[in-house]
Amino acid sequence: MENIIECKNLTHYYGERKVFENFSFSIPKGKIIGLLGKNGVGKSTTINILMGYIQPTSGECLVYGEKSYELTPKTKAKIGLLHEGHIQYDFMSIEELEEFHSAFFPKTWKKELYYNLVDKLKVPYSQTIKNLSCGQRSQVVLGLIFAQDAELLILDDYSMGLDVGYRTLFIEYLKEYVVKYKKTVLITSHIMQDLEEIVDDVIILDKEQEILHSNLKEFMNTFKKFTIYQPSKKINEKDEVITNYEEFSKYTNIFSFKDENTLINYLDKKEISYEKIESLPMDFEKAFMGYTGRYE
Amino acid sequence: MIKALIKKEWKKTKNITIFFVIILTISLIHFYFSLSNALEHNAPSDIFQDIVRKEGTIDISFLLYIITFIGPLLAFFQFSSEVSKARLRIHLHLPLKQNFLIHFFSIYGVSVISFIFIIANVIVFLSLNTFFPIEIFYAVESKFLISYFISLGLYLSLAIFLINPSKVIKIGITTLSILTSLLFLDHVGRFFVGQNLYFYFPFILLSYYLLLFHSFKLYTKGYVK
Repeated sequence: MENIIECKNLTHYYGERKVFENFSFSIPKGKIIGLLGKNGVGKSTTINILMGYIQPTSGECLVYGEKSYELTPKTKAKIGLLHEGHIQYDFMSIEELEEFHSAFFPKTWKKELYYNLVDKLKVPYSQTIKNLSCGQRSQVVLGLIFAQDAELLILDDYSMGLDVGYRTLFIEYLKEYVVKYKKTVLITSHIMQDLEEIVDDVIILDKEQEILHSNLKEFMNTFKKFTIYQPSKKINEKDEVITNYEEFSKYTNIFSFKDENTLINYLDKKEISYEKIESLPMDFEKAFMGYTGRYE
Repeated sequence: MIKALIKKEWKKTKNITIFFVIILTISLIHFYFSLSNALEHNAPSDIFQDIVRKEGTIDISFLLYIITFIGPLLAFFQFSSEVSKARLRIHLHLPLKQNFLIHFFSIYGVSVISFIFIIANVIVFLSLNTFFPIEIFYAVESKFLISYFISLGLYLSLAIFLINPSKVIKIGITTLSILTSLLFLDHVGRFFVGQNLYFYFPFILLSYYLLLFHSFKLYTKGYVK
């Protein structure tokens, strides 16, 4: 499958502060990828590198085979970008914004897709963007991306400032659109349950853990949570079996990509006895937290 | 595409541009009547000296201040919200060559300042040349031109100040632009009158322009607000 985005050995520093090191990933055509992580792990930095706003300290990102910081107009036209905070020209009206952007995509612009979405807001077209609520603005921005008919959508924290109603609406429209038109999407968000419905693959960035790039279903099937009651020794080391752990007074939660038998053998080898061991189901948010760990 | 870009910049700067055009028109009318009044009591050669040396009867400093302040205020309205609201990223992601997008910003601002300056000059020329000796127009023009160049300089330097991420550059460009403006507006202006002052302006403006271009490049290569 053709890769639309290919990033190799990306390393980025802000001054002395390391954001990530040797981060490689690729995004094949037609896939919906969720780029996830806690605050400050480099999600927006990755998006900014992809869009050419930041040149990485080392490594490179190719978008449609071009260096991300030297994108040609033709390639830029293939990318629909949602900026964090739904940034747009807020001094323009709904109608003016459509007219402005349509001028740059004369061959592909689908005006009806924009107005289909905007009409649902039930606000006059003369309304300026700055007078819209955050949720309404998100719909307008999504409408612009749909109308652009871009091949690749990059959506940076679409959920920022949205209530549950607008978030659901946003995801529903997006899902319908990307499935219908077979778009490639890179999306970042902190709302895991929304992403669970839409993404094929996930990339999890974390300061402590290795960067994880996996198919979502595979991740959910293989990544397990075990509760070990009354362990005789502290289990507080990460290794090839224990991806993460949470210590409590009477039990310890273990997160692992290994199955229960492997974990039992591992505990035997380490001479750790326990009262009982329980495998617990997790939703995506819990699995994400299990992988990245809680804030201490 | 270019029409859409011009419309966008116009929408952003419309209020301040119209405000300046109105103020400039009122000031030009006031200037015309005070000149008519002065000519009833003085010879044209005296008025010429008066304008050049600022000796009292005809005060055109208000007109000069208007022309001077068009530049920085236009830069403020054009760039401050682009940077503070991170909208520069939308502009730079438009499917046009990045260098063109960068040049467009400053070319738009320089064009607006020049357009207002030319209109003001045409009005001054037509009104003065009809009733007064040409020397009076030359006297006014020599003052206008300095203010126009300073206005361009302040436009570019404020744009650099807003866009360049380096604090050193921000402080440096502020100091430099204030100093050059003050010097050229007044004392050095007089000193250089006989030494072709206009020779220095293109170099200063070109340096500012290149620094502004470099600031945009820095923005696109590693500094994101």
